[in-house]
Amino acid sequence: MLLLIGITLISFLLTQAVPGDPALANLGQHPTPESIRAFHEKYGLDDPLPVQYVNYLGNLVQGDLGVSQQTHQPVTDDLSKLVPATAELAVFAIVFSTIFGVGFGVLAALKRDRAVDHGLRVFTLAGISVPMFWLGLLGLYLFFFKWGLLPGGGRLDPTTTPPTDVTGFNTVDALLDGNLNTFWDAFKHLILPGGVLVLYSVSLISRYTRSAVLEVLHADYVRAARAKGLSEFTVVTRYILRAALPSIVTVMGLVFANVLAGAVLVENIFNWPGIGQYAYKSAVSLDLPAIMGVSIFIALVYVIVNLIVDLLYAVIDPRVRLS
Amino acid sequence: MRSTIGKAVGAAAIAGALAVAGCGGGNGDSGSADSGSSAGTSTGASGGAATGTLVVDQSFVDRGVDPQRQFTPTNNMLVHAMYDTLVTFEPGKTDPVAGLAASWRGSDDAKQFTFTLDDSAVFSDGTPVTSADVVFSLDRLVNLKGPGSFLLEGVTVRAPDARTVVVTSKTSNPALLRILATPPTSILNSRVVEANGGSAAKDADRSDRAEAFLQKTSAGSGAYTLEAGQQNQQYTLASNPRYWRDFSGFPKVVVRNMAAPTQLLNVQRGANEIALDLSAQQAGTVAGNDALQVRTDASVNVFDVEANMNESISPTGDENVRRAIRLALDYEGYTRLSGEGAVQAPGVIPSQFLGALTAADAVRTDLDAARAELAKSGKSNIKVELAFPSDATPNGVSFSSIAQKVKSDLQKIGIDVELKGTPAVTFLADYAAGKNQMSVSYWGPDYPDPNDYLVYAPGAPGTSRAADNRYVREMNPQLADLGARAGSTLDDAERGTLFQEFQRGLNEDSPFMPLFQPAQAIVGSRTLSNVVLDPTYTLNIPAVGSN
Repeated sequence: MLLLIGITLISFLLTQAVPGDPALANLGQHPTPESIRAFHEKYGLDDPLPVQYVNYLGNLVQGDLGVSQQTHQPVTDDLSKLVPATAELAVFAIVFSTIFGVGFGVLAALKRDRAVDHGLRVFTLAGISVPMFWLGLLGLYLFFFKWGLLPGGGRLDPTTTPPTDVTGFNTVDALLDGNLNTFWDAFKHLILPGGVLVLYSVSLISRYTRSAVLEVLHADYVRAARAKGLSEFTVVTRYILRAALPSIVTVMGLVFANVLAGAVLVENIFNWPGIGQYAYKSAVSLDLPAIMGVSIFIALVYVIVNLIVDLLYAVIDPRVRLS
Repeated sequence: MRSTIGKAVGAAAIAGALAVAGCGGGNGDSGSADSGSSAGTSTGASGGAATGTLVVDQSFVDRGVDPQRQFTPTNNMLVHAMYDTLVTFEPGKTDPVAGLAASWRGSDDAKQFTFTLDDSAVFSDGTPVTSADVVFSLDRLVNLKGPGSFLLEGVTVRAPDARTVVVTSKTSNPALLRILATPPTSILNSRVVEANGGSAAKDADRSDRAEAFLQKTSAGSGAYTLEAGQQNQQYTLASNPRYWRDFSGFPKVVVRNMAAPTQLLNVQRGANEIALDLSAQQAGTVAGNDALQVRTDASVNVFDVEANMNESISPTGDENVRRAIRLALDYEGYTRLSGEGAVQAPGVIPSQFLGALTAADAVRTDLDAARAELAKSGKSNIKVELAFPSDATPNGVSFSSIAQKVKSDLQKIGIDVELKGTPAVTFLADYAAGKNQMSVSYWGPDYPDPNDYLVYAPGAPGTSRAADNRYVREMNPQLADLGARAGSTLDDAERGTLFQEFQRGLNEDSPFMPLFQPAQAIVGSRTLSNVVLDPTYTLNIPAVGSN
C-alpha cells in the first residue's frame, strides 16, 4: 500500500511539474474564458494541489482513475480496452524472445569463439543497437510494402470482422469463435510489431544466457554428468540450463520492462491500439488523469513482475528457499 | 476546432487544412436546393455506386465523435460523414449549399437567418428531422461549453414551427451561414440523444451524459452510420440505408490512425485507399505511380512569426525593431522549406479565402531597409528569445526548422536570437500568458470565412486565439475599427476589399509576420473519385466514390 501511495505521489508531482494548462492543450485555438472555467471545474484543476491529490486518492481507492481529458472516457474504461492489445503483443514478444534468446544463448556458449558464436554476437549487438523505430519502418517496408508478405498495421485487416470480445486477445478470441481465418489474420498482424520487440529482447536474453551458461559450463557437476555418459541434450537442459536459470529469470524482468517501453514506439508505428499509444497521446496533450492512470498501471505491473521473479528464484533454487 | 497547435500536439501533421479549389463568393444570404448546387450533387460520386471498402489513413487528433464536443480535423471529417448540417459545402468548396435546410433567407443586417427544413430529411432510424432537433443540437453546442462553443457565441435559435428554424445573432454576422456548415453544428436526433442522457440545457456542461452513447452509436441523418469506433485507433462506418439524398459512395468506410510513413506504404498497396497526411516530399515519391492520384496544393494553414508588443517584455515592443524583423525574413526560403506547392502568405488570410491579399501585397525581403529600421530604433546588441513548439509538425513542417531559419535571417541584421523550443503544451501556456518575446506559430481556419481572422485585430481578447501578443486596441484603434467594419459588412465584394485593407494595416505594423502557407498533399487510389482535400471536412467522405 505504501508503495502504491508513493507511486501515485511521484506520478502526481511529476505531472504537475510540467508547465502548461491542460485546458489550453485540449480546447483548441478559441478557448473562451467560459470554456476554460468549465474545463477547470470539470477536472477540479482550480483546487489546491494537496486537495487535488487527496481527491485523486479518494477516488482511486474506489477504483476510479478519473476521466481522460482527450478521450472524455473514464481512464479505467480506456485501460480495460487497451491493455489486452498490449498484453497480446507483450506475450507474443516474451514467448518468442525467450525461446529464441535462450536457444541462441546456449548455442553461443556451447560453440564459444567459433563462427556460430561470432555470428550470434553480431546479431545480438545489432538487435540491441538498432533503433526500434527504424527497425519497425524497415520491417514495414520489406515485409509489407516490398514483398507483401505481412500486413502493414493495426490488429486486423479493415475488411475482417473482429471476433467476439472474450479475452481481448484477437488470436485467442478468434479461436474461441472457431474462426481460423480471423485467427490467421490476427496472428499475421502480430508478427511485424511483435517481431520488432522480439528482436531487441532476444538479443538481451541471448547475451545474458550465454554468459550464465559459460559460468557453469565447466563446473565439476557438469563434468561429472558428462562422465556418467549422459547425453549432451540432458546435460544441457538438466544441469547447465537449470543452473543458469536464475540469471535468465532476472533478465526476463528487464525484458518485460523493455517490452513495455518499446510498446510506445512500436504501437505508434504499427497503429497498434494499446497503452503505449495511449501513454504517448496522453503525454503530448497533458492529459493528467490518463498519465496518472498509465503510470500507476505500469508501476503495478512492474511490482507484480518483480514479485513473480522473486518467487521464481525460490522455485528454481532450493538455497533461496532455505535462506 | 480545426488545426491548432494545442490540438495538433504530437500529431504528425495537421491535416486540417486543405487545399481549396476556390472560395469566397456570395455569403449566401439566401439560397435553396434549387438555386444553390443540388444536394444530390454535393454527396454523389462521379461514377456508379461504389463497392467494397474505402480505407482512409490519417494521423488522428481524436476527441471523439460526439459532434458538439469535438472540433478537430479528424473528428470533423468523421462527424460530417454521419451527420448533416443546415447548410453544407461541396467537396473542396466554401460556398454554402443546401443541407438539411432546403432553403434559407437572411435579414438585410445579417443578424437573422430563417431556414426551411427539407421535408424528405430523416434520421438513420427513419424519424423525420424537425426544427426541434435543430434547436436542441445548436443549444447543446453552446451549453456544453466545449471547443466549438465559440462558433455560436451570441447566437440564439428558435423554432416557430416544425419545419422552420430562426437563427439570430446579437451582431451582424455574415459568416454565420458558413459556420452553420461546420460539423460542430451537426443536427442530432434529439429524442434518441435525450433518451441516452443528452441535454441541451444551460447546465449541459455538467448534466449532459450522451458522449459515451454517441461514441458507440451515431444519431444523425448523414450518409453513414457508426458501425464501430475505437478512439484514437479506427472508426468503421456503414452506409445509412435510410439516407435521404442521392448517394453513390462506398458501402463501408474504415478510417484508421496511421503515422505518415506508414500511410505512404499503405496507399501504394491498397485498392481503395486514401492517405491524408503525406508531406509534399513524400507525395512526390509516388507521383509517377500510375495506380495513384496525387494532389499537392497550398494549405489554408498560415505560419507566422509573432512578436510581443510590450516593450518591457520584449525588444519587439519597439515598432522599428518589428519593421526590421519583418523586412529581414527570407520569405522565399520559408516556402522552400515546406516543399513544392507552398506559397508565401501575403497576409494572415490564406490565398483561397475571401479577402486574401495577392502576391503583389506580399512583404519583400530587404536587408538594407531592415538594417536602416534597426538603426532608427537606436538599439544595439538586441537579443530576443524565440519560442516554438518543438514537437509539432503541421503539414510535415517542423517548427524547429523554421525557428532556426528565423535565427539565421535575423543574425544577418545583427539581432541575436535565442531559440526556446518546448513541447507544445508548455509552449501554449506561455503563448496564452503573453510571456513569449517572439514565437513561431500558425493558424488553421475554424470555418472558411475571413471573419475567423478578426482574432488578429488589435484588442481582440487574448483568449480568443489562445495567444496574447499584448496587442491592445489603443495601439491602433483605426485598424480595430476597420476589422470590425469588415466583419459586419454584408456585401462580399466590399467585405473582401475591407479585409484586404485590414491585412495591409496588419502588415504595416502589428505583431504578426505571415510567412507561408505550407504545401499539403492528398494521395489516393486512381480508381477513386472526389479525392480532394477539403477546407472544412478534411475529406468529404460521402462524396468519395469509384470512377
